[in-house]
Amino acid sequence: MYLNPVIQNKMSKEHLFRQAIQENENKIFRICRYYFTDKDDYNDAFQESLIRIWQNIDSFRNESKMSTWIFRVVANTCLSGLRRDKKRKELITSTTILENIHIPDAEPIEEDHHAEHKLEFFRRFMQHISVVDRMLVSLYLEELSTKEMAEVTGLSESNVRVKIHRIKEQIKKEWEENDNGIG
Amino acid sequence: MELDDFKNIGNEEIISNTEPTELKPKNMESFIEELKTKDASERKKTLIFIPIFFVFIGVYSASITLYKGGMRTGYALLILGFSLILVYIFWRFRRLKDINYSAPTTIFLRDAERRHMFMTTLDWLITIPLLALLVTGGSFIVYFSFLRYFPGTYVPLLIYLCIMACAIGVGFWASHKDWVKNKGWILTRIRQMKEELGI
Repeated sequence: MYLNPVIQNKMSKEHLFRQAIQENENKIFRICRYYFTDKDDYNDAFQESLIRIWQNIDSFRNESKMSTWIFRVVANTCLSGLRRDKKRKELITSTTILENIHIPDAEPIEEDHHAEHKLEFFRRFMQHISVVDRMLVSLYLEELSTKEMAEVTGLSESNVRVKIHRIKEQIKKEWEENDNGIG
Repeated sequence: MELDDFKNIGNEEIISNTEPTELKPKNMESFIEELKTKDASERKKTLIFIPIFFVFIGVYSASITLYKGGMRTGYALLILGFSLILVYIFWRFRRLKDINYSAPTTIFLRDAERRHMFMTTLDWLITIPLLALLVTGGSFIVYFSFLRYFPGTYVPLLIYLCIMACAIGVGFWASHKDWVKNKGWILTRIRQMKEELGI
């Protein structure tokens, strides 16, 4: 069946978009949650990320993995959101994450306490590091390789390694200074 | 405690307890339809410039035939100046719309910085000749309009130039003030992010 190239292009855009979203929906949502604390904010960021993916999907050239490309769009969308709203100063720091993390009832109380302490520490840590470091932490926690992180951020791999190393050192040091995790 | 130890906090636990997003297959179709509608609306916004441009050119080109000599030259320069301004506004509008979100963050921030600057070098290079064109066109009209009342004097022209200089000055001051209020802080944050990235 002959299809007009314009129709074909529209179909492939829709197909690519559908595929991209279906495969990465959770990742996109999770990244938005790393950036924003308020439910409305991260839902808005998620929605806006999807719109940006739609608008930019024509530029996807298979030069990188689809997930890496999506991380770029989502990270930039979230950064734009941070720029736009002066009020959005808190990132991954509000109680929403704490509220949404399930700590199984069956676990011993000490473990519960430890998990809460760990989470509280993580929230505070994320609160005072720079926006860029937060972005790197979110990518790292999403288990992107150094190469992929470099592709997302535009930094060199060595630069990414250095920054991640510093963040690791910083988190380790702060954890040790923070009552050695005893709470 | 290592950064890797927080992977569970940042990753699995959040996912496993995240409420389902709204974009399930049944909603996907309507979402794509919404996106298409948005695309069409954006295209309309861009295309609306074209009839405005032609109406403007048509009206002024018709009126130019009423004049002769220096007055005609003045109106011709004004038409040319305003036409180029319309093209410039359209170009700026397109530039603001064409944001490549899929670029690496360093490039994205660099482009964002350029977009949010009050005036780039290119903007100055375009704006100054355009204003000069408009002021010259206006000067022709003023000079030849007052020639019959004040023959051989440039006073009306000088007054006009002073008024124009003030108007342009006030215009830039007001738009800069507005930019500082609405966009200046964005530029500051972009530069801060660039600094954090070491670029």
